[in-house]
Amino acid sequence: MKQIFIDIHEVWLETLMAGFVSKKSKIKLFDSSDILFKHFTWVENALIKSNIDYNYNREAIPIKVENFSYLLNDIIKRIEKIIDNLDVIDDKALRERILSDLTFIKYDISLMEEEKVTAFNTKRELDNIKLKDEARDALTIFLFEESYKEYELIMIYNYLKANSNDAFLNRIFSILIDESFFHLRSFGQMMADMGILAIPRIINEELYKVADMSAFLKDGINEELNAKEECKRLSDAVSQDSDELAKFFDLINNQENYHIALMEEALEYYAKS
Amino acid sequence: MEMGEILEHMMEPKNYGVIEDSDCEGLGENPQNGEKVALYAKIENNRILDIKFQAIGCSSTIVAGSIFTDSVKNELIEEADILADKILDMLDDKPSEEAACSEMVVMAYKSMYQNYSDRLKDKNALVVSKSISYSCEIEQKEENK
Repeated sequence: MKQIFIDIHEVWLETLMAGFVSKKSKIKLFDSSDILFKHFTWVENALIKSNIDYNYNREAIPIKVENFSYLLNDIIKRIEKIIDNLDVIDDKALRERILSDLTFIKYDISLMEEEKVTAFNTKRELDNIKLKDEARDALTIFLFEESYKEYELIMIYNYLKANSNDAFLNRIFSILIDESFFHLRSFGQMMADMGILAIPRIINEELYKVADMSAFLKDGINEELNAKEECKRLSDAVSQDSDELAKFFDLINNQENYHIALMEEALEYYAKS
Repeated sequence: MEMGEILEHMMEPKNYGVIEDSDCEGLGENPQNGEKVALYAKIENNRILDIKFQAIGCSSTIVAGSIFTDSVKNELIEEADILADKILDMLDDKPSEEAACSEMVVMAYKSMYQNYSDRLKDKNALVVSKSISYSCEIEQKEENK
C-alpha cells in the first residue's frame, strides 16, 4: 500500500502541473488533480488505520516536455499502474471508488487535444505586462520559493490533520490546506505563463513529522510574517509596471493575516490542552 | 553564472532526493536559522557512483547543491574533497549572505567525507554535522528594512 500511496502522490502532482501547462483542458485537469489529492488522503488514512509507517518521499517527476501529449500519456501510464495494483487496498468501498475515479480520469485525459507547450521556455514574460529586469528577477525567485513553500505547507498540514483526531485543530489545518492550494495554483499558473514551471521538490521528512508543535506554530507565524514582507516588497517592485500584479501581491499579503490569526489560535489552543 | 543556467537548476535540480541504501551521509547546517543540507552517496573503490542531496533552505542552496553534486558525481571522493576546498577558498571573496548557501553544501560534503572514512573503520559510524561560518544575517537585516 505504501507504493500505491507514492504513485498517487506523483500522479496527483503531475496532473496538477499538466493543468498549469494546458490552455484548453485546464479545468478538467485541475478537477482530476483535486480527485487524486482526495485519493492520496484516503489512502493515507488507510495506512494510518493499518499502523503502517509512511512518509511523503517520492521520485522526481519529469514534466519538462515538448509536446503536451507526452505529459498526458505519462499520466495515463501512471494511472494504469495504480489500477493494476489497487488490490493492495483492503477497504472494498475505497478500492472501488478509486477504480471508478481513475477509469474516468484516464478516459477523460485520453480525449484531450495536443497543445503547444510554452510553460518551460524560460522566456519570463507575462502577457500584457512588461517588467523591468530587477522586478522580473525578484518575481522569478519569489515564485520558486513560494510555490515550494505552499506545497510544503499543504503536506505539513495534511500530515498533521491525518494524524490528529482533534476537531478544533483539524478545522484550522483544513482552512490552511485550502488556502495553500489557492496560492500554489496562483503561483504555479504564473510560473507556467512565464515559462518557468517546475514541480516542487520533495520535502524533508522532519518538516512534517513535527516533534514540537508549539515551536512549529511559532516558526510558522514568523514565516508568514516574512512572506508578507516578500509580498509587500514584490508589490512595490512591480507596481510601476503592472497595477494588476501589484494588487495580486497585496491580496496574497492580506490573506497571510488570516493565516497568522489561525496559527495564533492553534498555538493558544495547543498551550491550553 | 548565466540566469539561464541558474533557472535550469531551479526548475530541475540535479540529484535531488535521498539514497536509502547509501554508503555514507553528510549534514551541513546553518545554526542561526535551522537551514540544512543532507548528502547521500554510493561509493565504490573510492569513486562516487551516485550522490543525492536534500535541503531545508532557499533556492540558492538548491542551485548550489545541484551544481556541486553534478560536478562530483563519478569523481574520486578525494578529488571531490579538493573541489570542496577550492569552493571554500572562492567563498572568501563573496558577501557573507551569498557564501552561506554554497558553504552549507560544502560542509555537508565535508561531513559526508568524514562519515565515509569513519565507516571504513566502523560501518555504523554516525554522521557528524558540520556548521557553516558565514551568515545569512546581513541579508535578513536588509530584507527587514
